[in-house]
Amino acid sequence: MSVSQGFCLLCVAVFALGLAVRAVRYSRAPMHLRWELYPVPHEAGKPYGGSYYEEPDWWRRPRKTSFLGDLKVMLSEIFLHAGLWHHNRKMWMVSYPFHLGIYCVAVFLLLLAAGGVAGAAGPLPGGPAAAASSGLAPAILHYLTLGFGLAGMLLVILGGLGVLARRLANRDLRSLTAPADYFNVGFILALAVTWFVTWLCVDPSFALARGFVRGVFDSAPATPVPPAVAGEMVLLGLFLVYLPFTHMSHFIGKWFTYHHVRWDDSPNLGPAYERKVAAALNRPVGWSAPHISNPGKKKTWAELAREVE
Amino acid sequence: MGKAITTRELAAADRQLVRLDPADFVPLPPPYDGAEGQPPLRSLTESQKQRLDDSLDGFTALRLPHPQNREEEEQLVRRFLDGVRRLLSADDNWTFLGPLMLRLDYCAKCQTCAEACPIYLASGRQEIYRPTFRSELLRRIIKKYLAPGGRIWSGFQGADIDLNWRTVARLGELAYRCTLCRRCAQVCPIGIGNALITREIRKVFSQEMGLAPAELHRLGTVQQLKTGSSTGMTPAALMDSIELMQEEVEEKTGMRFEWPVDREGADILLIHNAGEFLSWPENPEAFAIVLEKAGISWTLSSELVGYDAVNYGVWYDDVQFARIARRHAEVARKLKVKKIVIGECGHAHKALTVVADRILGGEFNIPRESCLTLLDHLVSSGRLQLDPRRNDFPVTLHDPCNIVRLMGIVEPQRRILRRIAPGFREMSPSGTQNYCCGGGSGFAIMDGLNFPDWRSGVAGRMKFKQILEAFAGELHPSVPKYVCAPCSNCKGQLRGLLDYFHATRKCGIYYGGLVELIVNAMADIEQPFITFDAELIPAVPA
Repeated sequence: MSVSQGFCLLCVAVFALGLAVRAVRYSRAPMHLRWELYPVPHEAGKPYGGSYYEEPDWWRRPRKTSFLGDLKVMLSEIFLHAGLWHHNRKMWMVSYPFHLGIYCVAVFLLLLAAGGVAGAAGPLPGGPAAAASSGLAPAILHYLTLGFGLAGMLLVILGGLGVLARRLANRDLRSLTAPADYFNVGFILALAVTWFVTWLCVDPSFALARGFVRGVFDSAPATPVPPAVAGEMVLLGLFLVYLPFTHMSHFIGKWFTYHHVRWDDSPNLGPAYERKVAAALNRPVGWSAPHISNPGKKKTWAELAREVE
Repeated sequence: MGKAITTRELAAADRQLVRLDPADFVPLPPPYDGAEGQPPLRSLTESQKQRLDDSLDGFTALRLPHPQNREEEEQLVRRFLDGVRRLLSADDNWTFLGPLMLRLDYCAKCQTCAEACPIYLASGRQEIYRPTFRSELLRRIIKKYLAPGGRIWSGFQGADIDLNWRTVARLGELAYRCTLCRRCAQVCPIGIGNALITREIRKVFSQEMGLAPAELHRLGTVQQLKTGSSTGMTPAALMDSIELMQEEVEEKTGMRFEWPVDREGADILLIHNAGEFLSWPENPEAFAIVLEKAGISWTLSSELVGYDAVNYGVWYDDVQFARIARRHAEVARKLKVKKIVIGECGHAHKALTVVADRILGGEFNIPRESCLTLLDHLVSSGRLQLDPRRNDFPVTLHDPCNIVRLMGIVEPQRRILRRIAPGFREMSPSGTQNYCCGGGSGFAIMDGLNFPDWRSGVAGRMKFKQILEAFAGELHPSVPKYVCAPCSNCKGQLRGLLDYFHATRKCGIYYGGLVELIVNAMADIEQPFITFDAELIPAVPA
């Protein structure tokens, strides 16, 4: 394994760890008060946005939920960005190709890794001819990698330029945009352009990139790769390290904003919630306003709730 | 379009940041398409300006006095930062820490939310009313003053804000320019809710700094806990009021019956917003008639807080919220009722049924139900004799945000109206997409200084536009029209809104609750229960 390969492996580890820390942080946040918003798509039979509160004595009735309802909204949100389509069409026109490109690039990277692992374990398809002669599976892997890679890069470049142009040209968007927001789009664009140019000039079948990945898993001494390929990989590694510390990790956050807040309509029925409520009310309170006045945080939420101010 | 304002400008000196011009506001349909659609907005008087900070937009909800010296200024900033620190603490803010973290971390600033915000749209797109604006202020303050990483990292993230007493004062005031209707959250592609951040800012001001609009805190929750009601109505006054209402019911309907109060073991404890007893007694009267006619076992409570469903804490203070919610549950527990039914009050619905669901554990976890669900059940079950021809006038429905968008009760009120009001038509948009009345989050009761002008002129403008559009072609004052608003706060706002635009006199638009329409349709009650101006009462068809 070369230094650049080792660096990239470390970056992937930091990326995974960073995302895991984010996810754990959100999932370990204390139980919060309910703050859901309707329509909640798992409310079965209520496509107009209704809830179980529409039923008399709702707590006596078995709760009808629909996982399919959630799934339908989730899939149309993830793959079509339906919310943006309905509520901000102009932004969708640039944001959707940008994100679709990122999805394609993510699949491309996974295929590249799969090719690298497969190559480490056996013969590696080096190019179209070699792939075709190595059998059907390597050929499919090769062409899928090529297809997703190129489609992804072009969509990211196109969409990224659109996002940047729209943000710069539109006063509403520009007014609250931070330097980091421009930098983030710029970083992704730089990655896509670098990879595209390298593909065009040095690595038309991604065989060198696949070889770079294979080297990570290969016990044999590292084979030298052109600086352009090592460079694009290092840039990708740096981006992966940076990503979890930015709002670009919203693909993690979105799970929580939807499932843990916006769609969390679980009623407090049964011992599991009872225990959580008791634990929450047992927390000490430190707020200092005169109507709370709890020096030394001696009182708990339950004790304060009993007071009449 | 409003003037571009940067977050940095919030710290700027004395001048008023934004001057609202009604000519910029969203246009209204005829007959309000000219100067009629732009009643003037009053400024504070010079002496009020001497005392109070109005440097945001010329209005004041918080009525924050100018600091007298540097020490007071620094104290304001210090206490604000202490409060923001507590917002990020699992003990002090377990109630909303998780949702807050997500909202602080992930806004992409795509501004999709702005086009959903009735206040931003109505105001002619004033930058300061943009839902992301106040959220971004708090986010930038946290990044610059509380988060690790130093000034360079926070500057890179856009945290260019300077924190002085003006920033704090304007941010506090800005937190009272949003009705917490949460329409912005509904359209956010990432699921961010700017209204929660608004509420969290209010919380810092109340729970740490002891600053909140008097109507919400001193005259609201504090008064409610001490005297029994946010209206100041004591238990003795309640009993007098009930006696009067009983007499009124007899006069109007010929029905004579004792209202059950503190009846132990009743099936239902009915809790009204106590504002109804004072401002719209026909509403509790109509409830009593319906429940009596349907043969329901019910009771009112005369215990402190037990006769007022109000919980203003849900708008600004978790501790006050918990105190009132617990008191409601305790009253129901002592009466040994099977369930609590909440009257026509939107925020009380959301507060007691949903938000308090994770505060009321064990013996306090009494089942809670909406009156709309109960009324729908009674109307559909045929237990009431109803003649829809008695409601033969145009009716439209306002969806209270708290009951509909925030709680998912959408169809019961519509099923009732389709059955009892032949002239019923929807507003557009309606249901979970409906616009807030403009009086949400306490605005309807905030009547100090010039705030009502802002509330009616800006916050309620989109709702007024919707109402006019729903009755298009029928706006002549000789045709009485009814805006059904099954929420006490929404009715308060509609009262102010219709007054502000003189809409009853000019267009014959009236407002009221849902249960009054049900009683008005009762075939076995001789006289109409709803009375418009005498000469405008529609004749009951033969």
